[in-house]
Amino acid sequence: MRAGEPSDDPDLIARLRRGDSRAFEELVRAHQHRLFGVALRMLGNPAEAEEITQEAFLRAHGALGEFRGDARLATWLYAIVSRLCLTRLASGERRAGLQGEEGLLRLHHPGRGPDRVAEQSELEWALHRAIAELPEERRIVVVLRDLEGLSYEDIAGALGLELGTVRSRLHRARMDLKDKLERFL
Amino acid sequence: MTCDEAREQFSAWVDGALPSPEREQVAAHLAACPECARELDRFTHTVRLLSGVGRPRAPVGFVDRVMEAVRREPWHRRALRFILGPRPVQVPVSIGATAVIAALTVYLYQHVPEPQQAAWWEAPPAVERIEPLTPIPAEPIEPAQPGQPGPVPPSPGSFRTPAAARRAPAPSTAPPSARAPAPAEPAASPGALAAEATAERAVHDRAMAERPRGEPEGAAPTPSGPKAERRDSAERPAAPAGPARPGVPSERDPIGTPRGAAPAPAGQVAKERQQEPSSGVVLSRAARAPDLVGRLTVTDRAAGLVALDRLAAGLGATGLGRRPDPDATMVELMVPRPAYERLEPGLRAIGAWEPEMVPGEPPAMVRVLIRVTGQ
Repeated sequence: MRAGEPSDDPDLIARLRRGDSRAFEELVRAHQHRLFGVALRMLGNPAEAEEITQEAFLRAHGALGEFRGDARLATWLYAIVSRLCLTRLASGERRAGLQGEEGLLRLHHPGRGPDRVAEQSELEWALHRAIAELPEERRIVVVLRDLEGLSYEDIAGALGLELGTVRSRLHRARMDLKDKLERFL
Repeated sequence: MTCDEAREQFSAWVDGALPSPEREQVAAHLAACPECARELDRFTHTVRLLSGVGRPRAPVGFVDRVMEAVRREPWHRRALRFILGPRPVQVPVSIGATAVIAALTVYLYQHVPEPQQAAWWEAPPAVERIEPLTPIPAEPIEPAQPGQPGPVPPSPGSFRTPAAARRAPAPSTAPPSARAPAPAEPAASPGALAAEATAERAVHDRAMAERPRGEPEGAAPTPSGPKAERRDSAERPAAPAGPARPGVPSERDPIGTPRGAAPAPAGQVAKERQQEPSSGVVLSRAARAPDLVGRLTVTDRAAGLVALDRLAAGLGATGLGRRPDPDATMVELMVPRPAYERLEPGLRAIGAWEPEMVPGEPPAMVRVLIRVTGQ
């Protein structure tokens, strides 16, 4: 988890388990950008990312009774949205429209076209493109680890993978990115 | 350690996840291999760049849209969450599930007729009173031979109930003590009723088998001699049964023994009479499940029941009982197999007939349970 992010509030968890709608709204408000970020990195389409993120929160709302508190709420939510993204990518039911890094850049810099964005932040553009070009199973690992800050163990739990598989995929992803970003290093 | 082996550990090295012995091996290799050391620098820089990537922000209004979607969540998902979700007082899921199933069972039993019907056959109450059935012409039966110990022939053509028939005086073979009606008769036990029903069906089956050859089964008998006298009496409206003449079989005897068949022991007859209810008509307790079950929906239930009585009389059916309920009247009949084919057309002529269970191969006497509904 990224530094400075607060730990779960026990009172919030208790209220969530009681079905408190205000508590759930707090949860959505606190984690919306995290989940949307993962979905957008994985899907590249803002509308599709919003749809998946909303579905992730709905699934969480329906399964709050199953949340035992063994993991952090954020980790649990990452697991839901990650699996939804991978399922969507595997299904082939993809939306036509804004794809890849173009969608990411417009969200980062609303009102600016890709050219304008690229001029101001060529590195950022290259990073987005390099991440988007990673194979899905490596991309989700590097997104969760290097962009969202999850531990190896949390990633393994979220994706249902062995720890060694997480390490291996992460290493391959980073090596791919290093090669793609060679001119910035 | 080779260069490839060392570079395989870069990720774990950067994340500080490399165990101590391997970390020392990688460190030793990096110290001796400038190329791998430069590669590690580039690798570390890449990871640092990634961790600095900005996070996209969810669109404006996203939270509101999620909350609106939650409010529109289907009821079954909310119900499931309510059932499976945590409670202030934790209840084991198995106990909760048992309670839900029990509540559903009670609800279904009270609101759906089929379970009641099923339970009725299996575990009936001791006695239920129903209104008497209208007598219909009886099939001609030859009187007992003088001196023969008064076997009572069956009367498949008479529309009567076993209990009503039991109220008739005992046949001539019964000892006076058995013929005398008991002042206060206990309710028949389920076991006795089941035995009674079994005996009744056996009697009817034998009766059908003993029909005179050449006479079509179910055909209206020709009155002559004692037969005509009996028919006349049977066609009269139901009246309180009087004492039967000695030697003349009573047509209201429910458990008549066919001609030539061994009569029931007097003690058994007396016992059966002691078990009969003091008044009212008992809806037959089935020794076996009905062969034909269905619902007859009529606009006027009273008129429909009259029409049903006429139909039963025309078919030579034996009425086993009737149980009126607020929303339906259960009518039970025994219909001879030859007349069975005309039963359902006749029911459809009375009202909307919906068979719920039909026999594959009708027995000699088809047990029919009709649920008559209507105003």
